[in-house]
Amino acid sequence: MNIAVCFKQVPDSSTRVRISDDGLQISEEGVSFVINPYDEFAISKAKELTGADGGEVTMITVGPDRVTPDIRKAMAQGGNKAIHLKTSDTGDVYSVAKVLAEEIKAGDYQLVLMGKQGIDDDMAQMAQILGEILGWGTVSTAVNLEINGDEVTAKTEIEGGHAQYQLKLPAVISAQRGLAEAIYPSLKALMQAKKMPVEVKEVSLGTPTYKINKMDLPPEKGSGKIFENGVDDVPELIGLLRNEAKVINN
Amino acid sequence: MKNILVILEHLNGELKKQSKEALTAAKKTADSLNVEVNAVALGQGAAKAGDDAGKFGASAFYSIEDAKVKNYSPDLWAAAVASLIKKEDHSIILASATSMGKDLLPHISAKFEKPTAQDVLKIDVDSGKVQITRPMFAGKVWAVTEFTSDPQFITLRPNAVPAEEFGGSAAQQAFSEGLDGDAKSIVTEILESASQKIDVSEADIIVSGGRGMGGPENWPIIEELADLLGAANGASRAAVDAGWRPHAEQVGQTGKTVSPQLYIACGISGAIQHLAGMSSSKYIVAINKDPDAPIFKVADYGIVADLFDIVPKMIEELKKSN
Repeated sequence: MNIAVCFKQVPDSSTRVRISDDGLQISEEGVSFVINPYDEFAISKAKELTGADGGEVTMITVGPDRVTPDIRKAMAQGGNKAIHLKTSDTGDVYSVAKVLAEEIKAGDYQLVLMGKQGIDDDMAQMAQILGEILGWGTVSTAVNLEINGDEVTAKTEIEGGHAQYQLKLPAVISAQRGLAEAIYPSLKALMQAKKMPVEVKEVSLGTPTYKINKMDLPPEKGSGKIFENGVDDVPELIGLLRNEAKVINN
Repeated sequence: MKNILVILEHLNGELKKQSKEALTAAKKTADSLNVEVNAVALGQGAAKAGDDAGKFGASAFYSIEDAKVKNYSPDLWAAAVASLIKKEDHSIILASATSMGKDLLPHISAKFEKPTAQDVLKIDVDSGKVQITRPMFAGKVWAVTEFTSDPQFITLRPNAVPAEEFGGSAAQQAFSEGLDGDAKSIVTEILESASQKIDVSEADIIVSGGRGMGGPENWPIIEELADLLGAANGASRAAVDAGWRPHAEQVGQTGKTVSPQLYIACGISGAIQHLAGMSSSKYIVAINKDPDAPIFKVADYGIVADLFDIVPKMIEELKKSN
């Protein structure tokens, strides 16, 4: 089985976000970029599946030049080759899905894996949209995935429990934390990844149908009330929660 | 301007709280745009949700109860709802940002070559234009966004808009178009958690523990406090990475982003990726020994003390009045 893993480069989660002067994006100055953490679970799962049954893992990413080092890292974590769909367009999730779908249709893949969401825009929908464009069965936010011949079962977390899905290959699955453990590549794997082929193709994302007008930092909270007398302050705190904040009833 | 459609979630016809919130948000937006709210429910018992849909602001209600949609299938449910949208020409399609809403709506929007604005905090109408405020970077940034054309697709974060009854009634009808194909992906079984605990993403109150808890063996006080308050249990990434708590409880940029009425952080210092996931909570209580912990910057009420003194005392106080 050949697997395509779609990954995205995102600012590290420890990034202190600054908004750029145009108010439409975050400033990239001083930001360190990493492979989206949820995509790393997808990479590990792809490696596990092809390790058991054979087949190749192709990393596919859409992004500007700065993505290149993370393409190598992604291959070291569990790939055989990579396709870099290069663009500096912003687009929107649908337009990115469209170029990914074209690339996937042109290849020979039975399974597409990715993280459930990018920790940058938090749109959480690439798998669903890609699945619709490809016309393949889809499960988003999977914590468990098993493949037996053409039969696929996947489990997702839902409010108050889990949902068990059934579908067939070809399929699109997005990974929730728990699907697989992220792999920290060895030096040897990193060296090997340097020799793996990366195909670079220029793409255009067109005009987005959904756009950002303005970014702001979240509204600041006024300074809160700080208690420093330990347990003696607890009755007052509970009183405030009941009567001032009115957030507890008991 | 055309009508708004709300996709409802229900359990055998009983409307979920989050869907009442979505209807309320839709009704307010519809009033500003001088249009009406339609609602649709799918699956077993869907038709029974019609009365509640009316009370919470819908003027028309569609139920899709075909045997093919008895179980949730993202592709088949999307096909059915897309048929309704095409037939009625809706301008805005709204669902709650629950696990199902966030899965289903992008399947539908894709059929209209659009993305979905997920996890939205606020919908405003500014001179006839719909402005959608949603968090990015797990809440480190709030972005005001818009669609350049209709239809527009929005999932609304639970607890972002309080539900309000308007007391109307909806014209109800069954709908059965768009179901010619077979499901490509379908839920075969729902496995309920043995614990019956409330999920952090839909809780009104969350009691969370972090590294300061010292280990999983100390969690019973967090659980007891949560039980007394009818709250969900949450955890910081440190506590989850250490294997003390399941990842389903993790709050933060690589866990769940939450907006409860009350968030109680016990022994959580407030790493930026945690603050991002919970700072839009209505009230935040922080309990930490370290007066310089960043969590105090977002707290409405902070107690600088040992949580192992404070949490048991809170339990005692709450029990007094029960």
